Amino acid sequence: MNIRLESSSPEETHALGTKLGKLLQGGDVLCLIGDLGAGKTALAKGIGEALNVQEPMTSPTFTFIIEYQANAQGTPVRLVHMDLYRLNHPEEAEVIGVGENFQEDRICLIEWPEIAEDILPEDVLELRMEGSGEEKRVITFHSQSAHWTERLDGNL
Amino acid sequence: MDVVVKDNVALEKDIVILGIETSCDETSAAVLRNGRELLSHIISSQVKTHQKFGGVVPEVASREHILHLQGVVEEALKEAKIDFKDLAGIAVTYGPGLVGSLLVGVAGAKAMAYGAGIPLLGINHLEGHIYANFLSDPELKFPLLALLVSGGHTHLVYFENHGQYEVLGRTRDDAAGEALDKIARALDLGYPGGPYIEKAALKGDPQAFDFPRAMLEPGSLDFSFSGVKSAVLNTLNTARMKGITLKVEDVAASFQEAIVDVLVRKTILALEKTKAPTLVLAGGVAANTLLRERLTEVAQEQGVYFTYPPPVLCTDNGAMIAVAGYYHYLTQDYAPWDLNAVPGLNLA
Repeated sequence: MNIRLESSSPEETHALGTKLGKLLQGGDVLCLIGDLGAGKTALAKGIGEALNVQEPMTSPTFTFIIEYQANAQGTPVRLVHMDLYRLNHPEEAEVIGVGENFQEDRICLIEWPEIAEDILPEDVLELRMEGSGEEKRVITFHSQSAHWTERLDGNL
Repeated sequence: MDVVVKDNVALEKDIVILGIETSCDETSAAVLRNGRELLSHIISSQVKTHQKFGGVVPEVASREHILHLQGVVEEALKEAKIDFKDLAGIAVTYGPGLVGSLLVGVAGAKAMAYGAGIPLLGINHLEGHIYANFLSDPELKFPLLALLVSGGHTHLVYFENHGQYEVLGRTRDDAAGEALDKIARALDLGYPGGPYIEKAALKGDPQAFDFPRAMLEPGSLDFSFSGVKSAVLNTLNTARMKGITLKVEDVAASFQEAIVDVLVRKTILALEKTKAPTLVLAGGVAANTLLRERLTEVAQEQGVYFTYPPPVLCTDNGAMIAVAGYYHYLTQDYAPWDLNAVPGLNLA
């Protein structure tokens, strides 16, 4: 599956996150890939808003993992926001417990996921955000799994 | 919860607290007498190990703590000429921080306190940073406003008394120190970012770039540093694409100016709102000279008392944990023996 969208402002990126968030459910794992400043924070906050997260979603860079109480389509879930930016070895991702969050009652958002590649589930949804500065952001959705096609097609 | 300082007790017998801090980079232990007198303070820093990697690597961190903790505690007691039996209690950071690192300190402190038959005192790392001011400034009194700025946190906290506080504002995205770290990395300056940005900024023009200051909605005491971080990165990227070389010192100076400007403006707002007669600065970024100078000016203009710890007490350290532990001891706020590490602990 490949979907390609554009965003011309942080507000649009946030709104896209909100649309996407409404389609999510427990067990979903999303990887957010893009340079610093590409709009990962804005997208994550949009997703959090759609999932009825009440606290401000702050950067997980320092603590690696921040959990929030959330609600996905009427079902209580945990939204787990991870940032692996500061890790340098794949083993560290295991030590901090990344894999323990891939569960049916959790939705995972992983920034800088590359280092944990080996332990990610197969049906992960990958969002690649490209562009910087005043440029438009191009956001491509990619997954090996067919169920994402059914869920996302025409809904974003 | 008011503190009842039992003067007669203090006179009869010294209250000696051992403080242990392993929440992040440092393994540190300190021995403190009667809340004011620092008998020893050992910091075994892992910064050199981490500089190789450009950040704290948790696995490395917890391993290093295991290797260092016992030696650091023994050294602290020896230098203080204090034996376990002379201690009134053992204070330890139980959060926030990296879980593996925290657990080493908590498990170690628990075993030592249980073995010695004395109270265990569980300390919030953020509270500890603020309490560092009680060690460096014996004149410090409540109520006070605290600006806590570090790699993981940016908070404005109003303290009515010991243990009685209200968080007035906090960051909604990146902490100030994190933004400094990330931009330092983008400028190839080094880790931790704050001191390197500060050094480069000395040779730069703070007006060279007009980076945004996020003030959020009127009256808000919250912070947001994600926007200014993105703005700097975008400036760097745009210049790179056009083949323009920017003066790193100018970028550093303008960026630091934007961060400090927001911190100062929000602090002024909080002083006006709370009418707090005293302002304290705390956390790793409290070592920043520009921030200290600006807040000194603000305090003079506003007629408030301003104090901040020396740089050694701004970093993660055992002395601040011992000070906070001392006040927990006075109020008999002891931790249970099943105290656990809480990586996501905040100021409630």
